[in-house]
Amino acid sequence: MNGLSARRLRVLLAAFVLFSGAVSYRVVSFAVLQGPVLAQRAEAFRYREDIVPAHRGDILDARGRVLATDIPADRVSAIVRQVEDPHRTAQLLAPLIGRSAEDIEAALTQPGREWVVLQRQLDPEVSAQIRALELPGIVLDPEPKRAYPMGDFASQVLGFVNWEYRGAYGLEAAYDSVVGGIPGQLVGERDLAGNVIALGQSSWNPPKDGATLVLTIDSAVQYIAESVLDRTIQEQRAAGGTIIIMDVRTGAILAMANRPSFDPNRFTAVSDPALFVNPSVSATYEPGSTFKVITMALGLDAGVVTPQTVVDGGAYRELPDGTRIYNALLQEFGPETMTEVLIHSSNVGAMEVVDRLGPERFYDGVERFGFGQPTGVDLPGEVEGIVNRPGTAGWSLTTFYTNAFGQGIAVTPLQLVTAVSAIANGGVLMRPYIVQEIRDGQRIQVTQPTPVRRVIREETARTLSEMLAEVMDSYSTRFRIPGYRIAAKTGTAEIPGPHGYERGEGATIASVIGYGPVENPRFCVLVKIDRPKGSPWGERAAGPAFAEVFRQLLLLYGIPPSQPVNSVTGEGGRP
Amino acid sequence: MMVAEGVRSVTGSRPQPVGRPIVRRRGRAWLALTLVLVGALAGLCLLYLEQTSRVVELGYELTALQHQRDSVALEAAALRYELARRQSLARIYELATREYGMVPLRRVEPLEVERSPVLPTPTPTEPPRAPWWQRANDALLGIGRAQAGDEP
Repeated sequence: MNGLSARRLRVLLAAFVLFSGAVSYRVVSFAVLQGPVLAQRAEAFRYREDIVPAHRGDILDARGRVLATDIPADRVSAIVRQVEDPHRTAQLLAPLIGRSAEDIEAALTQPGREWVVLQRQLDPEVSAQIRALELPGIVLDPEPKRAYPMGDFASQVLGFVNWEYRGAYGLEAAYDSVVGGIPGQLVGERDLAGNVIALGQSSWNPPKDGATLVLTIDSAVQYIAESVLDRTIQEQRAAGGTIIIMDVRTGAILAMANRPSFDPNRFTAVSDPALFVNPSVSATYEPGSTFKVITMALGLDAGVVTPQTVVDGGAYRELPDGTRIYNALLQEFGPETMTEVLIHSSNVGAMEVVDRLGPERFYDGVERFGFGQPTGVDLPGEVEGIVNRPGTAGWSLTTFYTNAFGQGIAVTPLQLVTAVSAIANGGVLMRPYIVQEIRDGQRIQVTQPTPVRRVIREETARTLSEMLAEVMDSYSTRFRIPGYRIAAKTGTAEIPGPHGYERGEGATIASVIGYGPVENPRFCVLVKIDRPKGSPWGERAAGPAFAEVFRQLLLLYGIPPSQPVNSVTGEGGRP
Repeated sequence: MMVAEGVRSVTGSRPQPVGRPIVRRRGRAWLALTLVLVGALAGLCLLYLEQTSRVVELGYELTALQHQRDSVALEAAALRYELARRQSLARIYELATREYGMVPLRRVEPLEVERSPVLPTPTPTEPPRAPWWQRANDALLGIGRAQAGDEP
């Protein structure tokens, strides 16, 4: 009996020692070996950090219309191990979230994945449908979505917001730090459901919502520009185009329409990312005869010509090396005044002006007008254009003379509008801008018009305006704006290619630039039509659009006619 | 010792155990005090528990309200978006031309309107001045006099 008891005791002792050893091992394992890792994991579970996204500020037009805003959306995800039937789940979700059932099933059955995002930025209606399905393991999390209520309206100006909710192009990118806000941070002790325990330790760094941008873009003016541009492109079977309208007194951009464009709500559907770029500031072209306005301004300002100066308008000018540079269509105008040089759009006449100016004064003046350098507009991706000065690799005597009529020089549409606006503004160049106000809570930052420099004398600007008004009158058989005196110049530019200038149909850029009313200039308008097939000429392809834009603009702003007129007849088309 | 046990004391009173009632009284007092303290402590604990659970409850309520506020803000944003979409000029144009039969502007006739002649500004007249004796009397008696001005 005693022996049995002793044996039992030994067995019990051994079992106890074994058990104690096992427990001790686990204790040491948890507390010492895995201690730091487990403690860290527990800490992370209890004190989870949540990034609280800031609301992105709205973008409004000058009339307060919403151009970009945040709307509620959801992100649908799956906790993979909780999904009971991946096949059925995929079948039910596929028609709702716009992904194939196979694709979803593959995502749900990925080995080693605990969590997978199935789709983002779902509309509230779709979220409600998913919620109603009550699928195990499928969760919906709210996330903001950027929306552009007017679709492709001014899309290249606005840009869009990418999947990371950062501005990708346009104003969304340029003002990302202002509009985007600063995300907040919530670190708190949480219960099992993930709710922050009120009495637990927590720190709350609230998000700072983004500021609201108010643009100088007037949606009514932008609508006029886009509608007229669309119609003209269709009529002319053109590849694209640009219309810019600027307030000449301030440099505020009232409209900036580009085609082709895209819908920022569906930026993922765009196959060519080049469409995202704003060609008004990021693409250059040879302005052609519209540049004669600048040449003439410099000639008049330097006093080397006057409106009455007569030059021999032959068909061509022969350079010392034997190169001949011709007028368009080899036209010969005979003796012509400077005003007639502009009316005829005489290349030979323009070459005479730069000849009298000399390269130094000419290029100094061109740079003074802002060519060859960014305008400083508050839009991203602005390029500086190409102005080859004497001594640079791209310069020759031929380019010097062709620069006089806008060939061999590359400018952005905005550079040209800004430069011509300076003439309309009495010779003072203004820095163009597109954001009028930044509203950050109670703080409102208003952009003040910024004069850059005087480029020509006021008297010169006035003289040139009178000359350009006569030029506009000369187009009256093609396009006119009855009752108003408008200063304008057309241009038909050839497009340089790898083997010289392109030839054939659709090988020009047709444009008109002008401002008015001449008595008190308010607006500068550039209409640029790329590769028109209806007519290659600026006067025919872009002229009617220019007149239509100006007519609508003057009516919209209620500017009365300055000349007696019985009636101002519209085209009867869309505005 | 045995004899002494049966002997009454000279005073005739029964012998009393020395100090016992005081101990009993003190014991009761301590007990009462302990009970009071325990009661107070229990009360405090209950109060603390009540407050804690109330704060936690309020915390959850606050979180729920914050969520509600966020969803209302998002709903307001959605409504603002819908409003902006409906205010789109392209949509207004379509509505105006298709549903209401409006047509684009074809003819504008500026009308010359003659501005009405500018009336001469009336010369302000000097208000009648009270005699000196009345002004002195007013000053002495503190009388103020109102006077009709040009403005309504």
